[in-house]
Amino acid sequence: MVVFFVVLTAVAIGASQAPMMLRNRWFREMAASALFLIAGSILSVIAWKMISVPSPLNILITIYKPVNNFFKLLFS
Amino acid sequence: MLEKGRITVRQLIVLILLTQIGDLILVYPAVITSYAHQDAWISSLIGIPFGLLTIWIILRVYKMQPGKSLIEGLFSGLGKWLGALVSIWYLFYFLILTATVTREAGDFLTTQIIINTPLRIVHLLFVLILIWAVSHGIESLARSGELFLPLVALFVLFLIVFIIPQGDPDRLRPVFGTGLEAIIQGATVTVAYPFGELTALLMLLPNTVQQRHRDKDILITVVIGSLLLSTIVLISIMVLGPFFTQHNIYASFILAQRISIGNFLERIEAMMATVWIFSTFFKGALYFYCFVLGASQFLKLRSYKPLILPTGMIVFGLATIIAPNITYYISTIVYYWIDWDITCSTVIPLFLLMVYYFRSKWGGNRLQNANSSSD
Repeated sequence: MVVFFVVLTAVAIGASQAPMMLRNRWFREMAASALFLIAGSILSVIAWKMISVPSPLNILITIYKPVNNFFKLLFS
Repeated sequence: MLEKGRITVRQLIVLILLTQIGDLILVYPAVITSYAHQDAWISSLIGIPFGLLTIWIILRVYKMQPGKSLIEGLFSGLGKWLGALVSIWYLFYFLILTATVTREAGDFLTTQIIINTPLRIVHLLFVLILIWAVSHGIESLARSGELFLPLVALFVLFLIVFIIPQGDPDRLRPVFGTGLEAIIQGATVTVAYPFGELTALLMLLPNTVQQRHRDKDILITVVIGSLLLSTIVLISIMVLGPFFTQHNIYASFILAQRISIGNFLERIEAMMATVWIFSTFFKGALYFYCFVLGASQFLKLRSYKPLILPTGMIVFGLATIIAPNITYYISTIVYYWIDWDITCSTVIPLFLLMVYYFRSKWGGNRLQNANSSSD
C-alpha cells in the first residue's frame, strides 16, 4: 500500500519533469533524475514503514573509531 | 555556469549567521558541557581562534581556485579520480547534514511542542518546504534570510537579556576545575560545530558578487556568531547549572520556558521554537542547495532543477534512517561527528592548500598559465 503510493509519487515527479527534459534532449539529466528517484523511493519506503536498517552513520563510527582511540591513548 | 543567481556579501553574511545559529542554540550547550562541565564557556571562547583558522583556510582555498565552487575545485586540484572520491565524500556530508537537520527539527517538534504527531509527518512537511525553497534558487533564499534575520536576532537577544536575572555565577565555580584536557576537548566541539559546518561557504562563494571587503566581513560575522553561542552556553550554565545543561538536550528551550518578567510575560517558549525553526530551516535549505548544486556539478549536468524533487525524497527517507532514536545522534555519534566535521572543514581544505602550494612551486609555468586562464 505504502509502496504503491511512493512509486506513484516517484512516477508523478518523473512525469512532470520528463517533458521539459525530453524537449531539450537532456538525457544525462534524465538518467541522474531517474537514479535519484529510485534511491529516494527505496529510502522513503524504508522510512515510512519504519523498517529497521543500520544507520549510514555507522560508516562514520567505523572510520573514526581508530582515530579516537589514538587520541585517547595520546592524552591519557 | 550552473547557477546564474548572484548574492551580495550582506546576504552571504546573513546566511552564515543563520546557519551558525541554525540548530546549535539548542544542541550545542549540551554537547560542549558534556566535555567541559562548568568550564564549557571557557572551551567555547578558546575554540574561537581555531575556528577562525578553519574559516581562513577555507577562504584561502577559494582564492587558489577563484570562480570555482568546492566540487569543481576538487576536480581541478586533485585530478579526476581522487577529485571524484573526495567529491562523493563531500556530497555524502551535505546530504547527511540535510537529513540530520530535518531529523533534529522533527525530534524537537514532536518531543516538545506537538507531541502526538508522528515524526514522519513533520519530516514530510519540512522536506516539502525545503524543496519549495530551493527550487526558487539561492537568490530568493538569501533575500528571505535577510528578511528573517532581524526577527531571529531579536528573539535571541530577548532570550539572553531576560534570562540573565536568573543567572547565578556560583554555578560557574570551580573555574578551570575540570582541567585543561577537558577544556581542550570542549574546544574541538567549538571548532567542529559552528565553524566546521560552514564548508558550505565554499559552494556559495563563486556566486557572490565580488567585493573587496568580503573576506573581512565573513571573518567578523563568524566571530559574532560564535560569541553569541558562547554567551548562550555561559547563560545556560549560570541558570541551569552544568548538570542540567549537559543532560537537557534542548537547553535554550528550557531557558525560554523559564523567562518570567514580573509574573506577567511567561511561557514564551513557543515563540522561541518558531524562531528556532526558521534558522534551522535556513541551515537545512543551504545544505540541500549545496548537495543539489554539488551533485549537478559532479555529474556535469546542465541544470540542477530536475534533481531537486528526487533529492527531497532521499532526504525524507534518510531523515528517519540515520538514527533509530534520539540518543543515537545526541550521544553515540557526537564524538565521531566532531571528527567528521573537522576532517571536512579543516583537514581536507588544508590538504588542498598544500597540493596547490606544491603544484605552483614545482608545476612550473604550465600550471600557472592554466590557473590564470581560467579566471
